[in-house]
Order: sequence, then structure tokens, then C-alpha cells
Amino acid sequence: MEPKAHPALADLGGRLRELAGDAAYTAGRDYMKKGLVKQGSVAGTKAYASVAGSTDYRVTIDFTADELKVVCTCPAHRRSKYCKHVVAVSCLLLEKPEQFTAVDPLPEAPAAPKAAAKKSGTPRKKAPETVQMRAAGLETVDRLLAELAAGGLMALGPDKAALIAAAGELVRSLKLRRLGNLIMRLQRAQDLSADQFADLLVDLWLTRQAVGAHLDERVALDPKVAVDLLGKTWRDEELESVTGLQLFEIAYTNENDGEFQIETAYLAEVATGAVYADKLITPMKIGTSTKGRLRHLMLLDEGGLYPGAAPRRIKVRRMRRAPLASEHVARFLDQTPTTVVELRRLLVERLGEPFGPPELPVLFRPAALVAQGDLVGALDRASQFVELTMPEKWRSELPGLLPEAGRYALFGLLEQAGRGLRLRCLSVISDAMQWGRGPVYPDQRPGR
Amino acid sequence: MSDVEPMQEVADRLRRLEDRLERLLASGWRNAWAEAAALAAEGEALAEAGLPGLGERLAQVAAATGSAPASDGDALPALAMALAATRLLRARLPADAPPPGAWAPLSAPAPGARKRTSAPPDRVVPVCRVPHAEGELWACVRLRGAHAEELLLLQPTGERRPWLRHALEGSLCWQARHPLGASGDYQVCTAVNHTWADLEPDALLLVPNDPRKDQLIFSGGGGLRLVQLAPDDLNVYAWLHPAMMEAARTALQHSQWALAWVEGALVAPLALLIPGGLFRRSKLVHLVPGAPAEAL
Repeated sequence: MEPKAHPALADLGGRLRELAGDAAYTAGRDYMKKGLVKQGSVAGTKAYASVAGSTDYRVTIDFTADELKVVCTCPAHRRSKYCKHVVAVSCLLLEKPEQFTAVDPLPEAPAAPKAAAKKSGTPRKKAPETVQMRAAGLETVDRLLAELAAGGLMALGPDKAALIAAAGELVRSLKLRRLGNLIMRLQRAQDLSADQFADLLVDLWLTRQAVGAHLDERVALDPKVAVDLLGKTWRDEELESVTGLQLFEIAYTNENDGEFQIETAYLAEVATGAVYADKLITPMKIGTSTKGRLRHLMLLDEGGLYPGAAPRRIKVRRMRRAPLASEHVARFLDQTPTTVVELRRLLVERLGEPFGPPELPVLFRPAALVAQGDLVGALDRASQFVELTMPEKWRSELPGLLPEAGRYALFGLLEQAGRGLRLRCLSVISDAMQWGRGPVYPDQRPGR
Repeated sequence: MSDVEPMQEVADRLRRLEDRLERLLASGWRNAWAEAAALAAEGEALAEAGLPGLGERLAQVAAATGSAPASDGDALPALAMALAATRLLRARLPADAPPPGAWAPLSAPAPGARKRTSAPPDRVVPVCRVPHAEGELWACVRLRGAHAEELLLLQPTGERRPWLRHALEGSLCWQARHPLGASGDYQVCTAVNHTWADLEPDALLLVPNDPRKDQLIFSGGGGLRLVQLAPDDLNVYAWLHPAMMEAARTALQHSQWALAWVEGALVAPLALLIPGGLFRRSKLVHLVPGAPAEAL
């Protein structure tokens, strides 16, 4: 491979300092010299690589046309295209092209449809260009699947990481959200066990079949799974109106899937024991935000429920704060499941929806917590067992805080374990914990 | 033999099958042909055991991977469908007996387990008496080191007058959380299994005879401060209870200094402070009906 032979790269070396500025140029060259450019690959006329650091950033250099196109996932790239990461990868590409692995190019996505097409009379049917683009995205997924199915976990060598990242971003950009997310997870191949890889592969294949069938109009997509499968954005008028709920926060999670930061506050309804998910989804490229936390009782005057599997996502439009008392919590606890049979029923229900969210948040009010070595579990009154995973700190603190059985509930994500069920605990809720920081363990700060 | 054991046996068998299918997927179907015969036999056995659907899926896996090398198009769908069916079936089996072994209540440390530490005790310093919907309570601050971390109200405990000089150490039991002002809040708790301890001499910064505006009360900082109230504009403050404003209105003729919980724009007066003099001790005025004062 001789990159300098391409017109777009021919004079890059001489212009790079001018394009990047002295600081980024010097830092980028330094990165290259320190060997921080990883997983370089060239697919046709596109080069992909990661630049290691406290955060790894992905760089794509497209030298298809006469004019070079560069993309980096770092924040500085939004201000200056030639950030230090782009400089580092460019320098390596020009000076040590042998360090890049040559791989098959991704299929080219057709050009994006013109914006004007959106404004035409009855635009609800997808434009042919969009359909073509999505078909190209599915073709990428098929090729990836074929390679992974044939080679297994070994097919996920370090040389594939940048290519997989690019494929994931392509598929995500086509609004095939679930497929994109699954592909992005393949990037962390070194962390995948055999069963996780198998899970991922099966999920990827099933999702591809469902998306294909939907796009070919062989089946109509269930609205409940649209948000996860295709990244549908629901309009306000499509939400189910809800009012008069008394809610309090029972857990909070903050995750990012590489594209979005997703903050979720799980809100419990006092009267019914139902759980809702109040989410704040922020694109990573516009920075992080911290959702305010609910520390009181929320009186919901006006809200909307999104279609989807339980826990339903809720949009809070108008609310008031009110005192949250132990009586509210006790009333809520009375509604929570107390048997493993009920947990299993919920799991089977969820597995019946293969494209629902992967996690199943559930509450469980056990009859006892038990331990054996490093294993922790919960028993119901019939001595049926569910395995628990919780931080080590919880194991030492909870025995001194918990009241008698029946007055606390575990909240977590339920899954099938090697033997039986497993609950990944997110919080413990009680009206009588010896814990002067609220009804939820661990601490719910900061508040709003 | 109980009914549970055969169920567990079937669940374990399905789990082993899952492991096998997962292994095949992880190693790639190019290596799967060697297991085709065994998979076909397992499929037949499962069909005979009353699981014909799953048996059929396994037969399809065996057929798709039975030639070396396997065909591109069929192996992954067959494996994916068989694995999904196995999981769904196993999820339906109520096999939830505890794994074998000696299970003990979580509170009992397992023999040979690493040393575990329990949650540190809470340490709160009572500041004054306050009225509340549930009767008179103590306004307290929770200390972390010498930092006033949080405002909370405590059910009165004992007969002593502990204001700002003594710390209550032990466990707290949460009762309620109330909004305070536009964005603040406070909790109501009861103390359990507590003891009293004198506050370290250097923890308290307050010199009651020499009040200064916005003075921190504790050496580690935090939300408890000395503020000078504006007597004509008492509505701007966040009051824990409406009766406190009325009590403050009466007592302001003696002093405008108040111990208050301050968090950003929120100022919640808790008690008034009447500075002392050469032969006069400073006093704390509780904002309860009658505004009683007592020497600090």
C-alpha cells in the first residue's frame, strides 16, 4: 500500500502543520512517536485507527476524493478538524503505512437524500434513498455476521476494531440503533467471554432478521420495540397521557453506549408498586449532563408514557414536590413481588419480546438474604432461590442496616444465570432501614 | 425424590446444551462439523424426553454443520434458533432450589471470609428546637469530620441540653424527607442505639459574643452559618414551619443574628443568637411558640 500515491494524501505531509496549528501538530507527532496509534487498518480508500489515552478516540481518514475528509471522536475535533489525534494517525499513515492492516472495504452507502424531499406533500413513506442506505447498512451487517460466524471469537482480532467501529457508526447513522449498539459492543471483544460472544452473535442475527423483514415490509414492526430496534423518536402526541401518580426515585443509573449518555431514574408508584424509567439521553458529542435527582415524593400533574416493555419510559411534563414519608414507602413495599415464581414469570414474559431492552428491572421482597463464601442469594418463603450480585461494600453494610424481612425490597436487573435466576442489585428500598439518608440504599445524592 | 429434582435435572441438561451451543458459536462453525453427530443424538434424546421442538432445532444444527466445512448460509441461523429455544425453555422451568452447600444468613460472616466493615455510625449535632407538623423536633446537622454535611430533624431524645456542644453518635432511622424552599430539602429521622460525646474543642468556630456575618459554625465548613436577618423581609427565607417566622418576628427585637442552614440561594433560619457581653452569657432563641431563650 502506498498512501502517498493518492492525490488527497500526496501533499498532506507538507500541509499538516499549517492545517493543525503548532500545538496539535507537535502533540500529534508526539502521540505517534509514543506508539499511541492502535488498530490501524485501511479499507479501500479509508483509513481507520484508534489513538490511546485516558479515553480512546477513533479516527477515520477518507482519501477517496481529491479533498481529504477526516473524522475524530474527540471533543477538540468539533473546533478544529485536524486535532492531535488526526495528526497522529495521518503521520503514521504517511510515514509508516506498513503498520496499517489492509482489510476489505465496507459497502458504500448511497448519497444522503436531499433535505428538500422531506418537505414534499405526503412524506411518511421512506424515500427510496433511505431504503437503499439501510439496505447497504444491512449488507455490512451480513458480511460482519458471516465473518464472525465462521471464525468465532478469534475473528475479532485487534486489527478489526477500527473497522467494526466504523461499521457500527455507519449502521447507527442509518437509525438502525439496536444493530449499531450490538456491533459497537463487539469492539470490546477482549472483555467478552464465550457465552457473551454467543449471546451477542445470536442477538445480532435475530435483530438483523427482524429489521430486514420490517424494511422489506414482510412484517409490520411492533410499536413497542420500535424505539430500541430502529431508534424511533416518539412525538409528544404519541405518548399515553398519565396524571395523578405519586412517584419516588428508587434507583439511578448512568451509562453510555458510545453514542449517547443515558441517565435513568427509576421511579416507583406508591399506590401500585409499578416502576417507570425517567431517562435523559444526551449525545456524547455535545458533552455530559447530570440529571437532577428526585429525593421527595413527586406528584405528577401531567406526563406521558412511551410505548414499550415495562418499566415504561415516562416523560414528566408538570409535577409538584411533596414530602416523602415512611408510610409512602411501606405502602409501596406492600405491592412488590415476594416469590421467585413471580420473578420467573416476569422473565419469561420479557424473553417473549426478543427485541425489548436487554435488562429486566424488577423488585423483590425476600424472606431472607443468605451467603455462602462469596456468593449471596435471596430466598422467598418457599425457600426458592435467586442469586444476587452486589458490591462488596453492600455485603458488609447491609446486615447492620436492614430491618426484618418483609420491610425491605431489592431492586435490580433480572437475568438467567447458569443455574436459576440472578438479580444484579441496583438498590435496596425500605421504610425502616437504620440508614439516615432516605428510604433507598445506597445514597441518592445529589438531589433536586 | 421430590418433584423439584427431575425439574432441576432437565434444567441442568438444558444448561449443558446451552454451553455447548455457545462454545460452537464462539469457536466458529468451521469447527462445528466434528460435533454434528453428537448434536443429532442429543436432539433425538430430547425429542424422546418430550421436547420434540427443541429436538428438531438441534437436528437442524446437526444438518447445517454436518459437512466439513459447513455451509455459510445455514449454520448461524440454525445455531441461533436452537440457542434461543433452549434459553426460553430453561427460563420456563421452575428450578430455583438453592445451589448445594451451607448457606448462612447474610449477617453471619462466613468462616474464613475476609474481614468486613459495617457502615460507620452517624454523628449529628443538635442545634435547636423547631416546631413541626409531627410536634417539636430538634434541628440537627450531620457531621462528616468537622463538616456540617446535611440538615436533618431528629425526634427529641433524652433530657439534656445538647445544643452545639455535644454530638449524638449511633444509627439513624429515616422517617421522612421534606422539600425546603425551591430546591432544598431536609430529612426527619429517629436515633437508635445512640451515645453522646462531647464535640472536639476545635470543631466549633462560633464565638457567640463576637458574631460575624456569614460566619461558618463548624471548622470543616458546610451549610450551617451565622447570618444577619432582614427583619422587614422575612418572607425571603425558607422556614421549616410557618410558626418559626412568627416566633422570629417576636424575637428579632433582641437580635438579628440567626443560625441558619445555607445552601446556594436557600437560607433557612433555625434559631436566633443573642450575643453575650462582659457579664452576660450569649443565648440561643428557639423559634418555637413563645420563643424561649436559653444560655449557650
